Amino acid sequence: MKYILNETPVKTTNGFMINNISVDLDIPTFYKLNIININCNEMDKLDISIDKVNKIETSRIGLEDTLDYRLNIKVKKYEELNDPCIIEYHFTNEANKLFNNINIVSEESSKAKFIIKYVSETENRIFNYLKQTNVVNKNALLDISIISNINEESDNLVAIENIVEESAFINHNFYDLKGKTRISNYYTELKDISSENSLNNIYIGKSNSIIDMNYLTNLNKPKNTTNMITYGILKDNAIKNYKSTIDFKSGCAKSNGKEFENVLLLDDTVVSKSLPMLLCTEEDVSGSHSVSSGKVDNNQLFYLMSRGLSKKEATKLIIFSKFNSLLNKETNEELRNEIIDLIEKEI
Amino acid sequence: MKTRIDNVNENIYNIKTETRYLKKGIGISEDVVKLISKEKEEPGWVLDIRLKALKLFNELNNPDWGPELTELDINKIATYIKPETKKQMSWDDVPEDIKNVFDKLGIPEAEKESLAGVGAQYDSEAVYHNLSEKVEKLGVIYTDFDTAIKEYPELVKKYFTKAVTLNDHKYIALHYALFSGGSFIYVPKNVKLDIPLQSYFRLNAPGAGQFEHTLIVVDEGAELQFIEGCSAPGYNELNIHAGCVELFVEENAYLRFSTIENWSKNMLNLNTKKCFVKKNGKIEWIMGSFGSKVSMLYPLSVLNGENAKCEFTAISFAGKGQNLDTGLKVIHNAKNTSTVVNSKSISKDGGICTFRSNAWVKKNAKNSKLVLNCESLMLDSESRSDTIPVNRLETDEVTFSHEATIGKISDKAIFYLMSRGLSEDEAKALIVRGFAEPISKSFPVEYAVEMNRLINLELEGTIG
Amino acid sequence: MKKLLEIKNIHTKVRDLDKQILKGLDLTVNSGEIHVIMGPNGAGKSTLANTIFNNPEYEKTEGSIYFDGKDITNEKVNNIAKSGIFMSFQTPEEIPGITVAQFLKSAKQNVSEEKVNLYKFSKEVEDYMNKLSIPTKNTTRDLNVGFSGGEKKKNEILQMLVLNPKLAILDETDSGLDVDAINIVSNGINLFKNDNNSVIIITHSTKLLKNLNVDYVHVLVDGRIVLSGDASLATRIDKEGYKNIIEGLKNEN
Repeated sequence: MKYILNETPVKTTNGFMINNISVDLDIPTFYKLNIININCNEMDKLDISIDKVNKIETSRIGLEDTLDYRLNIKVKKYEELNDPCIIEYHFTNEANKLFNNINIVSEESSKAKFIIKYVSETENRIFNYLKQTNVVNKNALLDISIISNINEESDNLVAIENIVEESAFINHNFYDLKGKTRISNYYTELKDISSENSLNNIYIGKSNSIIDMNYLTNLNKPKNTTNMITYGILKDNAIKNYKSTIDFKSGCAKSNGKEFENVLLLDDTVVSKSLPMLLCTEEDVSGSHSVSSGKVDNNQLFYLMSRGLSKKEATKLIIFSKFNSLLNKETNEELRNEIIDLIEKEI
Repeated sequence: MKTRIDNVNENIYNIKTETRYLKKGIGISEDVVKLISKEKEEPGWVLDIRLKALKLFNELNNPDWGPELTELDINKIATYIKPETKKQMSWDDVPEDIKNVFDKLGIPEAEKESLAGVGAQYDSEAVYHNLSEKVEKLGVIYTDFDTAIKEYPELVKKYFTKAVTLNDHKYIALHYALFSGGSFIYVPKNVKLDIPLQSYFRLNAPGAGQFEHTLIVVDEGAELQFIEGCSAPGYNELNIHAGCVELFVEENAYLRFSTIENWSKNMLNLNTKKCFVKKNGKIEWIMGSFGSKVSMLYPLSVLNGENAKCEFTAISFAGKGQNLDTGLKVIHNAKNTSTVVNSKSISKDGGICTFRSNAWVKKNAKNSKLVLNCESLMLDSESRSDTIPVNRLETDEVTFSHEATIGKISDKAIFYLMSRGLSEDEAKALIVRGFAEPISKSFPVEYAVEMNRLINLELEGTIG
Repeated sequence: MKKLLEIKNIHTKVRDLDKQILKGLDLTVNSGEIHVIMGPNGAGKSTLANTIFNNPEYEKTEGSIYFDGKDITNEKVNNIAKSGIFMSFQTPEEIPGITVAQFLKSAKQNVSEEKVNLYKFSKEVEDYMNKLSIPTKNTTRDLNVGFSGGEKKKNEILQMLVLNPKLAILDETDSGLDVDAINIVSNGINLFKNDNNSVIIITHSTKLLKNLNVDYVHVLVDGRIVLSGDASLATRIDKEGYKNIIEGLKNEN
């Protein structure tokens, strides 16, 4: 079925078909429940509950369906997790569809890291739709890594919605490595003084994959800060739309916003589109956006190959030279190494 | 502000003149279209285009993005107004009241000092067109569009509607149905003009529309600088300007197209500009947008030949009640093509500036290069400044970067200037002028002065 | 001798950090004098300059400042400049799009409050530039944009000479300069100096002072002037360092 998804906050000319994306999604009818594993050494610092809800859920992606589960996690006041809490979903031939919602509330002055992963025991087409909502209360810190690498045939939708209160900070590391149709929507409301968010995003697009990213941060109060950084590579017939918006609302004096995308194009069969918007109704702010792209620098390649590296190895190194600035932001070393392995396999 | 900046008399743009009109057309209908065509004694093929466009106008919808246009009721607009004069070759023959207006705008004086030719349009018709003898001898054609249709039908047929087609959007259809006036320029092969030609468009009547068509062909190896000026006195009624500019830069040719737009703040400026550039050709756009209530203007450059280049330099300044939605479009359609964009905007007193761009690098545009830069300055928090660029790359062999920044005047810079005795307002004005300077210096000297004058004029409301 | 600047019991804090820097500072400067303010890092030397100039980033919580008999404690910075005080900045702002020439003319016109004779003025500027070994083509460069550290400092001294204030406050003008540049700066100060104007030099080294006729040296520690003396005090600081002098003071008490 055809769906029109991921509408941008402000419309522009229709010629480039970037205001939204029209995709064919084959959503399996529900068959079997997926297994969830939650690994955490400090369960006493969290309140966890699972709802089974049947009501229609919407997100800014614009797709409506019934949820399977809603996972509610509360990080208790003043508690700090020493190790990350890992949430893992399993797909099998029968459990091939997942509509899940992970809802995290960080209470005042808490500190926690979550890792959301998927394990697939099947090469069949899988449909996954993650809705990830977070509320970060005063002085709290919430760090979430999402690894999306189910399989080449899967359709993967991720909708993230954040509300960030006074002096609170939320970070997402989003590794978008595999899948056919990949639609991600990221939306953050910086609600109070000194609220801050950051998004570190790596994508790899190959074969016939379609990647549509639609990111938005609203800055509402003084001294808000946002950083949305994306690095990606595209090869084969991959199509990518990068849409990112920083909206400086009136009243967000002394705020800072930065959005950035750099994409490395490895074939001349790819299509790379970008729409980095800056909207501003406040005088005393500083905002910047920058999108750049190009192919692998031949001089760099030559230099590396003159030191004995194969073209493949050299290219790999150049790709990592781009990704490293983001990979270094992954605080969990184990996960970082895992991601590096996954990326190496992909390229 | 009072001491530093020359006292500007805004009234030079605001002269209102009672002019007697021979003919008037109101709204848009087959009758109006036929009236225009008849008045101009046009050949049938031109009327056919008009009627086709009329049909399209009725079919097409307003764009579903950008500024609100529903305020416009085309049936209340005087769409064709013919002043009581013929086109003249000498300013002495132009009726006194009309000549007065252009005198005050400094057009005849500029013609004497620094221009190779001047065209002047008053409402719907050209009232003056003249080309220096020296340039005429080189085979350059510079005339009003009606004359061009009559005297150079083959040339006009070859290019007219070929860059901007009738169905591009609703308001270009409106343009083709009602077009009147404008300029036609042909620069023959290898003729290089080092002094510019200028057309000045003045919309004098209240509640009126101007739909001039400008067509420029710069043939192989030729060079031309063209300046377009526009202004209108302020009224309460809505005016509309739906002009069209078609440019053809042939192989190895060069065209610099400068616009200083100072429409009154009751103007809807829905202008369409397009340029085809062939091998080794270069188009330079220089745009200063100061006036109008709403502007939607995104000149398109199609780089169709190898090594074709586009340079786009623009500044817009939106004050109270203004919504200036401007930018550019570019299509890279051949090897080694390049685009350089420098755009600046200033918003104050609730004004809205939007930079909108479309950059499309097609698969065959190997080794092309695009560098786009936008800077926005906000002078207060009632105003708005948006940057909405769309980029589409279909080849890997492209060097592409787009950067934009948004911000206010630095407090530290203000303090530094004030510590040298400048008042806060003067310090701000100096910094704003410094911000605009890289753009204003792209204009020919006389126009840079005019632009600074406009910037000062715009600043006076808030600063000083 | 005419009393030019009088600072009484001034207390200042940095607005953003909400931190008290000056804690009751007194200083009187008469016309014709050169004063030197020295002190360890963080003592409040630059805060003093910014306090006199009423920089909005600093807040005066107590005390008052008089210049030429007028209370300028809460005066706007441009009026302070007009009344005849000049301050050279430690890090002069870069302002793109405005040339040095444009800026000098604009500042001169404001400070002198009369129309500047362009020909005479540009001759005067050229003359000063030669004396400061600044290439005259620098007037067409954008104000401080792309200037090296030394060029910026010399440009500040040029502005001082052109604007010809009654009191010049030079904030760390010598820092980061090589010997030749320091000599040019001190020549510039001597060129400026006469019996009717005064200079306050804020510095942490004595290199700049060699060729100058210094009248007073003040040691600023923790927001107060703890010791004042004549030019020989600077030599003493050079030899003994602040620490010993401060210790010595404590022992005396």
